[in-house]
Amino acid sequence: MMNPLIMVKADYRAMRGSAWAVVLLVAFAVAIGVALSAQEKALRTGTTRAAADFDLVIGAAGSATQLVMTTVYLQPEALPLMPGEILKSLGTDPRVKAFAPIAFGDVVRGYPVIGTTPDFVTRWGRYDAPMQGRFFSGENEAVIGHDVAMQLGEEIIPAHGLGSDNSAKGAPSALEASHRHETTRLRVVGRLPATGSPWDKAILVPIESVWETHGFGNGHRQDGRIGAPFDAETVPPLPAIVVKPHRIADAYALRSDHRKNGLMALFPAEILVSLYRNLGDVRDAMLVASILNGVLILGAVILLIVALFSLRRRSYALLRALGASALYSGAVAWLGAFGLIAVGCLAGLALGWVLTAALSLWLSTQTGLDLHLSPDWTQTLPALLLLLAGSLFAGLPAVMAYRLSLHEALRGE
Amino acid sequence: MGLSGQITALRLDVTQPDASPLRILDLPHLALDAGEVIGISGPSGSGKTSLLHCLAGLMRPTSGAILWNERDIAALPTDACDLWRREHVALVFQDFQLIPELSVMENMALPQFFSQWRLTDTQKDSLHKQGLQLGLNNLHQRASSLSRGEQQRVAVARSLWHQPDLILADEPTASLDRVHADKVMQALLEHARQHRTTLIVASHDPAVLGLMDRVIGLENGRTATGQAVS
Repeated sequence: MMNPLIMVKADYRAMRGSAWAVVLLVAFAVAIGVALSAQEKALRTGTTRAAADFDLVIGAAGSATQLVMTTVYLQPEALPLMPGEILKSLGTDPRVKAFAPIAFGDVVRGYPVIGTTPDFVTRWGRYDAPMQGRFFSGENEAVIGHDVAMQLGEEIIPAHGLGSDNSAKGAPSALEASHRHETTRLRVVGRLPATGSPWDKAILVPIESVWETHGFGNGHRQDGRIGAPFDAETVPPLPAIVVKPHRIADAYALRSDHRKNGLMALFPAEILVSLYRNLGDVRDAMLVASILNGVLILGAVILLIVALFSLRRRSYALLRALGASALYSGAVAWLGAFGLIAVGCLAGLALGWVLTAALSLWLSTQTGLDLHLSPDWTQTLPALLLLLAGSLFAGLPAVMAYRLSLHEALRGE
Repeated sequence: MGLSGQITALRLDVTQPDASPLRILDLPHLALDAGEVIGISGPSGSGKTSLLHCLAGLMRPTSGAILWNERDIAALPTDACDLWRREHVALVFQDFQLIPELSVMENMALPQFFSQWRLTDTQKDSLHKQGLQLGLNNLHQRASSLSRGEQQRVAVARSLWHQPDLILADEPTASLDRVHADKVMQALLEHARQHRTTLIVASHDPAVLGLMDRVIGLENGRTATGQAVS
């Protein structure tokens, strides 16, 4: 069996620097393609997962996107308030399986304090128990999200959330200290399992505690109660309610019923679909840019390979002069070019994954979303396409080796 | 006399293929017997290298024929010509034509890799012997690290090791001192005599030409006398 590798090895030794240039060019082209594709998929999966427990969200009429971004993804923004009486009607609506008022605004060491109900803390009964400790059972208790850097038993004092405070989560802030609700003391009694959402970095307290802190009462006729029913004569206003309907038809009916009288109801999926559509548009644009990038890189690689072949034409002429078959000299030329492209593709896949992991880590810290990466053959598609095109174009030097004028090439003409 | 190694060039005509056609070789007839040792002399540009390349099938004559045992090499398709060269011809190039990135042994045995994955122990022993005969002691060093003289000896060793029927050597002693030049010529002549190999040596060196059975003088692509040589 012929051994073209001995000459491929010699070629690589001869054109060390240029060979690295080809490998790097291909690697960067592939890495960009992989990173774009993997990141877009991770973002899509992460946002969908985070919205899983938010079947229907009701808020005061305003920006639907803002309602979802604030309620589901805890992006701090002041939402308009709706009358609390709606909690009474939801409590008696046969289409509603469960509901949870949500209140925002306060922070502790940069972590948002979210007022809600025991139903929502257990994620509609999915959690029998928290990861550590227990669920809250009184107004002065709190449970923390999986990633909150606090200890069970710790006493915390909520403060008014301030948009201008850019302190890192978990770090004490002088600005926050000056806006504390000193009369409210909360004890951390439990830590929740990870949800892969920004809620993992939130402190959950009974909504009654938030109302009381802000002087609205507690929404109940009887002091000390937490959760539904909210039966006070005047239920405090609130920014958002998450509703879990019995059936899909109920969800649509509830959505329709709560889109009037200054209210707004929507499925987070509606906003996500629009977001994905935009993401999809961005992805398509990126894909086109990535393909163009690939074509340009491939063109550059071909030019480089042809130039390298020209530098080595004397070696190929020598092989033929020594009696190498066209198959042998072609195999040397093809393997040499293909090897560079293949190594570039493999390095690009690895680099793409590292790039994606780094980008995901950064995005996760920015958004709180778990941008989980899973291997997917579709992400290797750009590399495979480049490899396929490369394997075809790697034939160019092979053809050139076959068509060499031996006399001229050996004389260096 | 057997036919192996008998080569004849009939009315060999090579014209430079460009706008101003220039005849670079014009030989009416050249016939060599198997085992014959021929010198080709002539000034630079007289067509010595072109003649050797024509005889090796590296360059196709514009007209004429090159007969190897009555088979016209000039008319063979490229693949068949490559195969013929591999089976019968060894070339020693004026500028050695080694692969600098390969070792001495890999350079000497390069044609072997056209059909073989690795060298056998017997082949390696035989390569060492061949190297020693030409004063090459270390076959594992890279060709790029050799002196010009050593590179020339590697080029000669490569041609001898494959035991061809026809050796075409272009200035095989040009880069060598007298001692090594004598060694190389002795090895070439010994090989030619032992294996009835036809040896054609193009050289400027009168000492080398003096070792040949006969010498053909070339001038402007023609035999110095303008006559057929047989």
